[in-house]
Amino acid sequence: MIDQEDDLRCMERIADGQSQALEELYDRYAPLVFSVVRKILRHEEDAEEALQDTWLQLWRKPNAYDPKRGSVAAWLVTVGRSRALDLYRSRASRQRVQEATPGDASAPSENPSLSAEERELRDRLARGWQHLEPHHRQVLELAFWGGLSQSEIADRMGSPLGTVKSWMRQGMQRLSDNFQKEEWR
Amino acid sequence: MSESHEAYLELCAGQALDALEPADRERLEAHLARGCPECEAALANFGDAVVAMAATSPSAMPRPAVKEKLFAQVNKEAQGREQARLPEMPRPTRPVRSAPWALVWGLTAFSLLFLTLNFLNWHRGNTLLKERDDALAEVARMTKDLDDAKVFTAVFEAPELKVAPLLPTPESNQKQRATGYFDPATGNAVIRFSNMHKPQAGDFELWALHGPKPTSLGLVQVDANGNAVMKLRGVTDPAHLSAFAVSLEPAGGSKSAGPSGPVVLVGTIGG
Repeated sequence: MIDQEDDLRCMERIADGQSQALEELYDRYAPLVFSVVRKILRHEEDAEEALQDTWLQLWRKPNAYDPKRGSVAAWLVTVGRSRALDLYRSRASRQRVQEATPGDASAPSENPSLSAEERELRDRLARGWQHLEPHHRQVLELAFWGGLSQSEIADRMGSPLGTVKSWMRQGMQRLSDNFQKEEWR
Repeated sequence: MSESHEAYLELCAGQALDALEPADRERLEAHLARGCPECEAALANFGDAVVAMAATSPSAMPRPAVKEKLFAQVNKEAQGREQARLPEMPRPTRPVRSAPWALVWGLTAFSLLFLTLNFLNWHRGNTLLKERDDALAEVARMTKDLDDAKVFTAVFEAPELKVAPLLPTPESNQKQRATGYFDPATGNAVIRFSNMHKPQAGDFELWALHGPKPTSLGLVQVDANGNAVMKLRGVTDPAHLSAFAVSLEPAGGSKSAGPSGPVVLVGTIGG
């Protein structure tokens, strides 16, 4: 669950050099970020490295976060995802492996520390995701998990760029509405 | 709402997903810099959507060792920050000279006392001067460490940061790993190694490859757990650096211009 006010206080303490606040955010969000980077990278050690890099960036440059642009949770997910995509691209380039897009991981073992409430919430969010229009879902998947730009998505789908931009906004709006309805805040 | 502002809201969705083309990103940043509460609110909402997408991934927990390793590094850096906040150094001061106790002391006794006090003052002054010099040397060392920290932190924030995962060659230990972070603009690099367990009589040596030509970057000093971090300043000819490699060499490193032992890790510079 997200408590932005508490997260902001943690950010202030991190900027003041208090590592305990960093640990609080780690305990709160590392499982979420790790789930994302693990799905993208499909490699345990690389995923751990991406997770560590994310928290080191938070520790070293807490002022890179701008509270006017969204929650701490969203920022951490974005930083972790970006680091994971960088690692994925480098690794794919080195290995000359063409394995479709990142994010096709086989399901890892379920996190046993999730409470029944959190598990139920995740299930509801997953259902919200499944209820998106297929074209909305495809645009968001290619951007978030595949790391493609709007132009690359338009090429991939054979759709006009303007249409892709509209679909992206509509899909994001519906996900956001569903998220707030599910009271993650 | 104007049509053009609708376009900005669409850009906000792309921004939240980091899916904008550079020109669009610049356009949106310029718009946000002028101040737009509506777009800021949209970005915050789309951030929620990002978290919602993240929450659809199969949940997984990182191993406890990941947290231990991370916070060992964080606490080390925290200590460095604390040491960087030096207290103001004591300046050697000339102690207040005591007045003669009384006129009943004879001139000789007074002179002896005067000389003794001056000797003690001189000695204490010298001691403080030495302490000051030691402190200044320590400050210089820490300033250099701080400079190093700035230089190598900048590598991770470089706009053109290249990441090179070094993977084991087929015949070598498959658990060993390294990742190179390289800023082609400065030639500075940070290479992190793990699970590097070398035989007693031997050393790992890091190489930069410019095409087929290897250049030694030095020996890898691994700790008891097989971990190491190498920080390199100004790797030669960064524009043409194509790969990093690690070879297992006799103690002290290769005696030739290139690797003389087996290559155990290799990784090309990615983008």
